[in-house]
Amino acid sequence: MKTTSKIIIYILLTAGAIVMLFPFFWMITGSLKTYNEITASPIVWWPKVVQWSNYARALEIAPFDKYFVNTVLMATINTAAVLITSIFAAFAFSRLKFKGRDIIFSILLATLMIPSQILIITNYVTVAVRMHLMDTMLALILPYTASIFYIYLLREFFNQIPEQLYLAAKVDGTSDWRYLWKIMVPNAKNALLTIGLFSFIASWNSYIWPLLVTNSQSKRVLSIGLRYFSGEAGTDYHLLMAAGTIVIMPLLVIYLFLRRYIMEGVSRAGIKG
Amino acid sequence: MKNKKILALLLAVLMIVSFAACKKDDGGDATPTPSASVEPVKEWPEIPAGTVLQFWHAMGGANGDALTKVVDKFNTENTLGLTIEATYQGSYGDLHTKLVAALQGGDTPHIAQAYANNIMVYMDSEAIVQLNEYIYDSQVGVEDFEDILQGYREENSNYPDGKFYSLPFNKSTEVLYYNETFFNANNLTVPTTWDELKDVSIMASNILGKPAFGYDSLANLFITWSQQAGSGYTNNNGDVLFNTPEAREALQFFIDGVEAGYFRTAGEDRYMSGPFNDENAVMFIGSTSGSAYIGSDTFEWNAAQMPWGKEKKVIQQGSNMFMVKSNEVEQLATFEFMKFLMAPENTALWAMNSGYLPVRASARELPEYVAFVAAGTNPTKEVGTSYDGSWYIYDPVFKESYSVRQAVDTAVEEAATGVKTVDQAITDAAASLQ
Repeated sequence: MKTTSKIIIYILLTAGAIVMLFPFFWMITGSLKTYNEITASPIVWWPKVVQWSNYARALEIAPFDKYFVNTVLMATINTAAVLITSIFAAFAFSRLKFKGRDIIFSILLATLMIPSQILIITNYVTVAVRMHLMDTMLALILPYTASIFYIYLLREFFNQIPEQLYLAAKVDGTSDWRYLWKIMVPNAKNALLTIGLFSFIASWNSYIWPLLVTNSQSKRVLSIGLRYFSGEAGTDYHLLMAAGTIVIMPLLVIYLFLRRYIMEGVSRAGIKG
Repeated sequence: MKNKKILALLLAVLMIVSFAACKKDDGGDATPTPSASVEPVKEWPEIPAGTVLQFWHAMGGANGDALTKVVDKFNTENTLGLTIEATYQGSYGDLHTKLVAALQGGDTPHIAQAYANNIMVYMDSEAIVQLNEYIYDSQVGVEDFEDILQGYREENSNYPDGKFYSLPFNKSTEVLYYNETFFNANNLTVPTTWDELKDVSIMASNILGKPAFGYDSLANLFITWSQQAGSGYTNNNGDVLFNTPEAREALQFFIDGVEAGYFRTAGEDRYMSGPFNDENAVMFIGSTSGSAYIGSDTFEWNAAQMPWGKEKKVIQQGSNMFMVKSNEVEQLATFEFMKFLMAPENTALWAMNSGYLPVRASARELPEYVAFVAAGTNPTKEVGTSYDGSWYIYDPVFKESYSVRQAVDTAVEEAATGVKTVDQAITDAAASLQ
């Protein structure tokens, strides 16, 4: 009985793993096929001749090295900024007692209801027109230095830490600042890692905002480079897959190193949220 | 008394002056070129060397490289010391979003690429330059403007006031692609009429055991074939003109083929180039700009004029270029660049390197272009340039013209999948747009 259920579980898990891994398999084998092979029907699973040259051609089409540096820079600064603002805001909303705290928090939460598509032109007018930050790194970063969703998420984590700890620390004469960094932040390590990763991934994948506020090649990011492979009459799927593989590799490596934390963070957030 | 005489004289002079001013504003209609003698000579400013102009476009991949080639040529060859900075802004949709945002007061380009219905949207910002006063000017204008293909001139002046707000830039059309190896092996002749298309498709389908012919864009199928049958489509008030017996006849012709198994749609394949390359179909009508995606090691392909119905009508695709208001000097400089892009040798250079066609009749006769076509590297170029400028049809220019395309696309889809009868599909499409 025990072995049968184990077998069923393994079969289900294997099937799940295949489903999850298939897009990666398709992308990587696709990056090594010719255009005719990748669009062929019936499906060609493996290239007749492995086309390493797709990678070289994909790299020629856009300056991916420059884009890579910009993307890493943008994603890293965004992530650091989001973490700092989220920690401060979440601490204030979970521990500090001040007038109108809950009302302010409710108003902030209400802004989550506005779809980001509606805000994008307004943000553009603020950043590019009013602040004259067009085509700068700051323009890429500024609108994403704070996130209500992450503040909300972190506040939930902070609320889990017992109030008594805070009061005890206060009795011992600890300042709020010290308490935040010595007790709250270390205890919310998993949550912070989750937020950091989500923010990094979102920033890595962002497309329309970087496109709106940059014009010069030297300021652009990877996601824009991927668009070069599509035209109005078709897409060079084989080259797109090669470029896609290049772009996704760094994220994959990060995920492999940090997967334990991501899992914990996600599952906890899920239960609590 | 004397004062009254002076006053009358003054009034007379004023009338003459204002009459002359009215004349001056009458800056020419879409087609006739006003004679230069009537217009007072306009004082154009000097363009200082070192002027830099921004050009936003949506040309990625090979077309992007071709554009770089043409822009580089301008930057090195122009004697005015102008520099064009061409910037890729993603797909047409992305470019549109960016232009809408920029026109809210941000950094606008001097010139950009766009479809005419989107230019109508930008016109709300009042930042788009009306081009008649440039085109027909005796000093800075376009000489032999009539040389630009008729269909292109019509589309770019199809705005509410009949004036030019854009000029043709990257233009493609549709041709019949066919598998030459298959046609030769089976002694088939390339169809030139609907009846021949039907006969050849039936013969080829019997050999293949599956539908031999497909049409890439269902919206284009409807727009082109209904007009070939003598139907209307829309006008630029957005009135539906396709609810006709002729349009029903055209769609029925296609649906009969789908039901009998000799015609097909691209369906899940999205583009017919996939099944064509896999030899699952041996003929299709598709855009000349898609020729880069066609070809296989196992057969030779070729292209021909699309088979005609009662009338020779073929769609013109691709987009146009328009000018954003800046100052007099930069606008004039921008117009110089527009003229450069449309000059015979440059539009030919563009056509030879990109998926598009020359915008002028004379460019088709240039020795280098004739030699390029004769070399046969891309058969669609010869076919595309064999279409007369008067055969070209286009989507009439109004903001919501795209929704008409979507409606007729859905109509063909529904009729082809048997969800609706031809009559019902067309009636519903027309009703949805009222």
